[in-house]
Amino acid sequence: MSKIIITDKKCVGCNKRKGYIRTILEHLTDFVVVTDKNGIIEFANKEVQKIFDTEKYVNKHISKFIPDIDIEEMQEAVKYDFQITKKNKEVLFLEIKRSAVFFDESPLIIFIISDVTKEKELESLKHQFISIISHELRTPLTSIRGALGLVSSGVLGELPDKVKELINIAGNNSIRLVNLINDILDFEKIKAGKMEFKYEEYEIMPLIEETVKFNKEYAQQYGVTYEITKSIDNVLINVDKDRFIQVLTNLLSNAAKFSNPNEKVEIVVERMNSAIRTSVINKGTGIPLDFQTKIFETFSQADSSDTRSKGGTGLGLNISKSIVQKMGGIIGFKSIVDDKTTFYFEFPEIHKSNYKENILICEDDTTSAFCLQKMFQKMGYNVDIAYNAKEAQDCLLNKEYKLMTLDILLPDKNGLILLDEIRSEEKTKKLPILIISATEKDYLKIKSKHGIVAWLEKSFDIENLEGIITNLMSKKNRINILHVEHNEDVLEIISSTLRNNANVTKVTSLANAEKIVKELFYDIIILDYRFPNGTCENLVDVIKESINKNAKLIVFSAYEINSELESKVDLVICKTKVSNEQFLQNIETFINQNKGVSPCQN
Amino acid sequence: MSKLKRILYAEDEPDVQTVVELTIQSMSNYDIKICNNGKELLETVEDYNPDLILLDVMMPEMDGPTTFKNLQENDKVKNIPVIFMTAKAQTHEVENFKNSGIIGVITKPFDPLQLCADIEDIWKSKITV
Repeated sequence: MSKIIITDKKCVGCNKRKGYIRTILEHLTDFVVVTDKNGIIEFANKEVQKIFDTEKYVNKHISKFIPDIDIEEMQEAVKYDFQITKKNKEVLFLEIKRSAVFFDESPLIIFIISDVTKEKELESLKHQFISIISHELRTPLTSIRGALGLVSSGVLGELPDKVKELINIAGNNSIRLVNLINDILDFEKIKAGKMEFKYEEYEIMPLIEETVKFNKEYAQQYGVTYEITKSIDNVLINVDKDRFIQVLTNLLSNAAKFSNPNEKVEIVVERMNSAIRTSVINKGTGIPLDFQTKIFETFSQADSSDTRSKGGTGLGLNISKSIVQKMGGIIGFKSIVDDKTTFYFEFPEIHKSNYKENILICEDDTTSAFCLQKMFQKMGYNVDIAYNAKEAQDCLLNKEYKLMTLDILLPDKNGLILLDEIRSEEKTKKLPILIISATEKDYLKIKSKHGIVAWLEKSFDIENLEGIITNLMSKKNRINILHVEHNEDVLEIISSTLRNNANVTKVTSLANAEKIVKELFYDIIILDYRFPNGTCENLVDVIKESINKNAKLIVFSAYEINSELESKVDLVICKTKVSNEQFLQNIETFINQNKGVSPCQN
Repeated sequence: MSKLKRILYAEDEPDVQTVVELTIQSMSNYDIKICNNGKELLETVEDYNPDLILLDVMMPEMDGPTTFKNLQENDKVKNIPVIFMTAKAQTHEVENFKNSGIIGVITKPFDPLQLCADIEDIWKSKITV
């Protein structure tokens, strides 16, 4: 669409040409809406009346017709699905593509809206169909599977060898059919986002031992044995137990299927950087090089004739990958043709949470105190409030605190004097303290003198506060990372993987990032390049002028970076060229290189 | 600990009924009585007085979860342990009942050679507690 409009600009005054383009626009089967940068509709083709229920839409705000539309980040190109209910109660599913262009130097937002109601209905019918079919298939299979199993067991009478062989074949194939249906159902569920996960903290080894034991018999038919050759005790992971077992079962059965006979399949559990890695290693033909890139795709087995000889749907690894990723882990493999193949997956190690630890708020303003209290409680802490220096000192004497916040302006004592006194006590010499409402100059003075202290303007928000708290309470040997990224999914993935050996502060907007880099020290700052309201270039300059001028800067971007910016940062990673896994590996290598470079706080 | 002897089973598929009945009879010493749906089971349960109830989840007339709720409301039978039998995909649907008296779930299709052992295991692990 942007091209048509630009052409229009070149043909100003050319009425015939304008009419031509207008005719095309009016007769598109999609709905086209153009708004100014604030969302006020400037133009829409007539088709739009079908979904807007009115002819009077020009000069009105688009959210009047499409409720909940995100007008904050209008200038960013995105695509999303929407549901609207028309006046006649008809429900429509719309797919909206939004893009921005400049016309006469002012930004225009173009919405191309397609009615995808029919497609949605079809999709939902497909899901229903598959789930009904699967259930209906399963019922007769229960009888077949049961009957054949009972007959072949011999409890109803011994069978002649040939009969037994045929019954076994039928029995094994009924099991295969059951697995196939389970795979298809799982696959559908994942695709529809309907797979449920029940997270709990589990110790990893018992899960692995149980799964290995359960699959022993399966391996025997291939003459293969499983052996756990390296284990790791007292490690907790947060997963859905059944799904974890499903993934490991898939890797174990693949390893057995594709092993040379009489080989051993090794299971190795070890700590890898921030995560716990479980590897399943087998010796066999390996994965052909040209197939390695397709291994996690659907319906894939290296040689389609293999599907028949080895069994399986070719969905297993695809399902495993989705499950592992949904549970915040990563999965991968290494393979040497005609030798060893290793499949592994990793989940972050869970450390017992810091719930019910105490935090002291020393603040005379009740509203601020209450506000801080709510924030800390939300983060899972016990909170005490002291409204003056005297109360604070009493609290500190009687209880253990993980952290204290301190307002410099207190009714009975200057906060800085209180700070001196706190530091002179043995018990509170090293207590992390967050100073609130001092000036930046004061802060730098305090910091050099008083150990673990951070400073915060009075107008803070929770996003910053959480980062500051983790940063402040962190051990010195952990690395502090600031991650500025407006895509929350990316933020989540990165931080959940890095959190075991680094403190990650997540910030979604440039404005917040600019504030925070002036306040806290970081070892590494990871930046997205493009944000809804600009690029990170200005932020880089701010960082270079701030207390973080020595932090390592990494730009993680989907866009080409100009050479000026590139020269200012330490590492550029292109989003389109690397997968999330590779990105994480890059970051981890980078972290390892920088370990211990700069002790963060004091 | 009481010994497991009598099992009452509700299942609407005649073929599955036969397979389960034959399996239980040939692989264990349990007595088993079969009902065609939940409603029938509720009518039979007091007379038969089973040690254990096996319930299919999807049945006409009255499904497994509804039957279970009805059992819970009858003081005479509410202490009889219940095991659900269900397809793997539906295990999440019965998870919620686990805390309220369901002592286990057996997934269908089941392995006939394992069925009695599974029932025995669930019985032992839950009844002793």
